[in-house]
Amino acid sequence: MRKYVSLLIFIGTVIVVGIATNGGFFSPRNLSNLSRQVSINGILSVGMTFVILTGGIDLSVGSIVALAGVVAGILQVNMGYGDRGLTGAAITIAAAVGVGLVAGLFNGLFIVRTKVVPFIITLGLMVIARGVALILAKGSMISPTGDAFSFLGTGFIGHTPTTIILALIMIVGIVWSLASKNYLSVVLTAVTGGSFLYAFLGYTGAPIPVLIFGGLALFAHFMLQNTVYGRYVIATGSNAEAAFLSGVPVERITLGVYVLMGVLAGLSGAVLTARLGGASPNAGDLFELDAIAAVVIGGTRLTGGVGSIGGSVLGAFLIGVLNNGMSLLNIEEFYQKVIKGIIIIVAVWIDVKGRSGRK
Amino acid sequence: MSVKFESVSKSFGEHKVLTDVSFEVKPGEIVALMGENGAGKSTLMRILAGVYPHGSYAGTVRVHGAEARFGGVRAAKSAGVAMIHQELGLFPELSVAENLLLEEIRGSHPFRIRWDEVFKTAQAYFDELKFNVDARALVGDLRTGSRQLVEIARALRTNAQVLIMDEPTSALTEPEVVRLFELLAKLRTEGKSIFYVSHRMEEIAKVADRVVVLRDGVIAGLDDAKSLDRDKIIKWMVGRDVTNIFPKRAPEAIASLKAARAGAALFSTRQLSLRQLSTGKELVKNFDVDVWPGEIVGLGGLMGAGRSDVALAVFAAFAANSPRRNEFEVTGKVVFEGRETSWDSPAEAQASQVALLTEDRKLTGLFLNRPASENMTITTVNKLGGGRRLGVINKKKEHATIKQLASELKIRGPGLHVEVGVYSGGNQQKVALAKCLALAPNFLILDEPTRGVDIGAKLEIYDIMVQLTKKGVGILLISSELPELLGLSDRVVVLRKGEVTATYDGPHYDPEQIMHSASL
Repeated sequence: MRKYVSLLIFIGTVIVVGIATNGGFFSPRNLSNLSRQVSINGILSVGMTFVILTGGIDLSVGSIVALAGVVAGILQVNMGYGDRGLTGAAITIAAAVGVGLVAGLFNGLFIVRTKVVPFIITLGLMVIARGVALILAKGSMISPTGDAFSFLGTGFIGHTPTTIILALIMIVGIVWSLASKNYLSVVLTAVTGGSFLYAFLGYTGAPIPVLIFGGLALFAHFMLQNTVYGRYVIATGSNAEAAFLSGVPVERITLGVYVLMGVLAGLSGAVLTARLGGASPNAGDLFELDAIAAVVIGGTRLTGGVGSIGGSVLGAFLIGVLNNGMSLLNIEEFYQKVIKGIIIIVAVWIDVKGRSGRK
Repeated sequence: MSVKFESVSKSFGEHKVLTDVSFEVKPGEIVALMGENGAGKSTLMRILAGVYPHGSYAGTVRVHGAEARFGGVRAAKSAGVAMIHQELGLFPELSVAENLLLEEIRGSHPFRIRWDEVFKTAQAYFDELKFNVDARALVGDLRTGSRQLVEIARALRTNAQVLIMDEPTSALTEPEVVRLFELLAKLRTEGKSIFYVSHRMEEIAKVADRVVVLRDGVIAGLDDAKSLDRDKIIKWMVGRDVTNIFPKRAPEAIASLKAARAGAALFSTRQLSLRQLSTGKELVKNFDVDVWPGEIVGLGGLMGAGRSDVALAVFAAFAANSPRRNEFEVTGKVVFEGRETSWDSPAEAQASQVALLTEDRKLTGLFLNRPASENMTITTVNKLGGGRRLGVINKKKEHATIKQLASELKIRGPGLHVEVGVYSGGNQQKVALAKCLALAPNFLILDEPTRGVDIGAKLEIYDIMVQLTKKGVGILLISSELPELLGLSDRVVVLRKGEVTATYDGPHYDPEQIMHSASL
């Protein structure tokens, strides 16, 4: 039952926001923009789910986003890759992802070797990476990026490919759910897929960042549910000592989740820079907190071993709907922060209450 | 002070745990409370100690003739009832003296603590009790047995008239047990009433005056402890006749074991040593053992003799790929199926079909917040995924394995998809064992396979062990329960301070001789 508490809160929030905006919230254009805004936090939440499942935390993701973005910006603007079409864009994306990979290795290796808690190691890298980003960018904005690269953040695919991709995902999802007799999942797949179709076909087609986020989330969900790797991540977080004595390579798994998180943070940095058309060393501020909030709202326990990708995606969308709705309603940003904080606490509180009441 | 229970009943929701329990304990009497896990012993004692306050149960509890209406633990304490918990209730970050004198320090002076005096008072008290504990040591640094002594001392310090002891000897050394029994005898002459919860029959015969056996929340029998009839007590506890709780080996099995011993050993260690690098302490010294196919070799010794360390060292828990590789150094040889092993981690030991059931299922065995089913296949999930990290788990095959193990081991719980943390002790242990058996091991190390397990599950676990030996599996058995160790082992190797002091051949052993080799 507790799995559905966040879902109910989400549906309630959507209804409230929809009514308050006189239905303006439900316009395809708004929904399409909303999903694109959610994508970056969504990609980070996917990585953060793995980290938190092992019982860890990564506070450095916001800074990695900035650093990767700055590196992408320098390549695009100062080194001329912005004028070299698709090749330039590909090299830029690879560089940003590479920055994330190195940052993830830094976190993972220090955590595994020094046995200092992840909170401290990643807090350290949070400050270091932000500093390096400011040094590289000399403290200022780098723009504009080339068109081919900007497509990563602002592009769309047309109506036909959107329809084909979404229809395929829905068919696979529904068949899969029927096969495992999970009827709720059938309904959820249909409603979610339908909503996306409505939003994307009513506007300009599916945005690229949403496709990346969606693809990653589906892949991560499958990995967690069906692969040896997923089982090992969960076992490591549930009881590391028992996991090691059961044959789980605990150190490699721990290293792996931070590397994965770093790579996804690097990718997010590229997407963010592409969307804004330029890189700022101050970008990504507090992104780690939004990602952690999304994961926790989604029912993943900070102590490790229990959680799901689906929950984190829902959490990311809940935060997105709140941001979007409050902006539509012209609530001042200062008040937005207060309301968002309260909703995060309440959502997790209800979740925890439901859990203890069950025993 | 006397304690009297008058038709005490207690339910948790629909579940009735105590029904009409009535008996009396006189001043100067030690009553042993026995029964399987879940029989209601702890519940009854918690009612007396105020953990379950007055009003949360039916019936009457009288202490010194007057009805006790304790609203909580504090009320029970001030009425002179003290409980020594099995789950230790000490502060690990504080010194022994602070733990002992907590209440007294608090009342002494509002701003100043005279630490010299605190340590002196505490040390004097331990010396008086003849407990070998350093008052200045941090409780967290003490071994479990010493902590238990601190708990006992703390309860005695309050000058309680009614003492409840829950498995007080489970972690004590032999001399400490002897000392505790002397103390109990003295407390008896002072007119105190003592409840002694234990599974250990030998102890009860020595220390108690009467035995009360609970089964399913009802008193199954009351008896004089001096003329304790072991079979009768077991029958009361289990509700059926148990003539011999250790399964007899078939004559053919004994014959085939004899034949096997003429051939090569399945598993051997030579000069196996384990050193803790930070302290330089040798936890295991030059340990040699041979286990033949179909043989159960018992590893005896006191707590801290290095038995579990042997198990972990053999299982490559300190090897090159271990997170603790920089803390320990292992030397010597481990030979399995004729070849010297070079396992770099438990994963490699498992790949050779060697399995370890760890000493503490909650700390190092199970994934408590995960379903029982996942716990059972964590050791083999790699194979179910085709040996690749990103391999997709064959769920059909996994499901079949789980079903088979659950029925083989008679695992009874609220459902295999439910987290294993809510299972009973016996069934948790069976899940931990299933995790080992999923590997289809040829050699199995069982560290305390029946600790905290009720007698029904115990018998089933013994049965499984004998079934395994029939298939030619070799077993290294570690157990602190001497009857269990002697009842099951074909041979017993005794460890003391990390060294082998003696080896005995079964099936007939002299328990006193073995205790002597263990403590010397």
